[in-house]
Amino acid sequence: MNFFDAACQEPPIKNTRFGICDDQDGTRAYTDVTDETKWVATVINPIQIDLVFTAIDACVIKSDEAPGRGRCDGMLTSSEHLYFVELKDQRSGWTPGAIDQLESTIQFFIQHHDISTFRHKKAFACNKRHPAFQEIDNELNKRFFKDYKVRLDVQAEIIVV
Amino acid sequence: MSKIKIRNFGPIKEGYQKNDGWIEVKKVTLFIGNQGSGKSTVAKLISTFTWIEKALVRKDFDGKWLGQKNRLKNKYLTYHRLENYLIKDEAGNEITEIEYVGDAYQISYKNCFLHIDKIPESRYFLPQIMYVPAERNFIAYVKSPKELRLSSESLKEYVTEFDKAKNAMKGPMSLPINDVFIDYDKLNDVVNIRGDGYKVFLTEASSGFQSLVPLYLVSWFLSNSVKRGSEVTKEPMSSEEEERFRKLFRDILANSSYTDEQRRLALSELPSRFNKSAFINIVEEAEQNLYPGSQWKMLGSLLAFNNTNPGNKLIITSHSPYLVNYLSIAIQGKELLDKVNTKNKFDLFKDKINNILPINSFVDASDVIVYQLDEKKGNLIRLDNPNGIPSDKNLLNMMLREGNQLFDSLLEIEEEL
Repeated sequence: MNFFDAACQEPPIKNTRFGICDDQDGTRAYTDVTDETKWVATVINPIQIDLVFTAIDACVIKSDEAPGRGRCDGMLTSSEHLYFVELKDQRSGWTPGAIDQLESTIQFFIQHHDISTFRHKKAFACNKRHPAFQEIDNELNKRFFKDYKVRLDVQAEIIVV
Repeated sequence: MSKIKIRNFGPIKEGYQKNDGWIEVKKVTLFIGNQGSGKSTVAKLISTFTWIEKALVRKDFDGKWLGQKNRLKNKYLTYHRLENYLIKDEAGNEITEIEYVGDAYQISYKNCFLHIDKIPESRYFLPQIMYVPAERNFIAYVKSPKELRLSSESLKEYVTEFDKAKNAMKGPMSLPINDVFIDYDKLNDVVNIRGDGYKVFLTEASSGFQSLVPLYLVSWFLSNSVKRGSEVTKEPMSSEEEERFRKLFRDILANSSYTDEQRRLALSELPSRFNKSAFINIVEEAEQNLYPGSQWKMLGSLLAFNNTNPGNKLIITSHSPYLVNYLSIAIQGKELLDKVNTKNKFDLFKDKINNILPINSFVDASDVIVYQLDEKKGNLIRLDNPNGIPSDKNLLNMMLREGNQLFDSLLEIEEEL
């Protein structure tokens, strides 16, 4: 399993604002700079860092690979950033599933690569259409950070700093 | 560390079901739960028994006197108006049971009698105990405890300390919220709130200020006076001091020229002449009338005051998820600070951390305990603390979650249309 397989990567993108989309038809997730209605997650990149989007579901991890194990839609990387992204558009109860998929992907990643080379590591569970009211999630965030050194963020905006 | 066991008292029925029933009182203890679930009852009992222990240490009375029937009910429960909280069974027998273990005495209550045991070889810090009642907003309107003759004893004492705190102010004091100052006009005995280009009387200020100003001032004053006392000597009272203290105390009690009020004031003044070395701050509904951001700042201040002395304790009842959240952040801060110190990088990161949360409000995970009370079962459970922080699966946060679920249920019905 190669999370840096060039076949799953898009060319670097440095727009200050772009979207990550998933057509929910079994195909892989992709970035878009024009049609905001399609964006499930909005990436805010004010200092225009070169970001590479890699499709994980249906590419790094093939659809028939690792049955029963969750995987997230993609990741954004730079030399310093490792941002895992799971996109959801279902109406209710989407957060636990998204978090499980992110966690499972991080476990795969750690199995195959050295996660410590990235300075900023985050996992985003995004749902533009049906965001949940915020609850306090220190407990989950702390466990995530303790287990993987990855900070968890549940919202539809990915701010790259 | 002290602990208390409560069965069949007011809303508390079966009490705490684990740890052999012992509710531990740590440096920071938080009680959360529905109204009527007994948060304040537990806090008031902790206050009462801590006070009895202090009175035993300074020999206000002996165990024999205290051991007479109904002493607790008639003499001590009235202070917090708890005298009607004792419970009887159908046959009319009282079934309330309370046990308290402090640092100097073990006190138990059963069948209308208190029983006292001295804990041998104990090290006791004479505490200043303050119970901050929920009805504290009223005191913005009164100038002296006398005006509160009909109100509770605990409120009267709070007003007395508020008076002392006002008089101890050396000039304007900044409040932790809204970038404002407190001014005390001694001549007219008026407290003012002063902000950028305005000044209002505390009586005219918003309810949040009326709740916070007395809480802040009294906590500041008492923690500072205890700190000063303990800086003089770090040791508990010597036996000689104890004897002197007892004599003065007996003299005041025996002095028939005092009115009841004068005697009460003289007695409350007396300990300040000795070395109180702990401040036990018991705050009912700490978040009262405050915006969430202000609740954080208020708690930050109380934690900072609590940190001024090793023996200090902060006991809070609350309905606010923001307070639990702040505790989590303060605990995480302490954990980070320890790591920073281990790597000798305090100077490097001090400002960065202070910008997030004041370092003086940080608290160690092992010093925090949260109990949740259930009014239907009349019991308490200790909130889990995964990785050291209070669990987000607490009643207050779950209520926010329930908001999500209710909203979603309406969408689900709409889907069926």
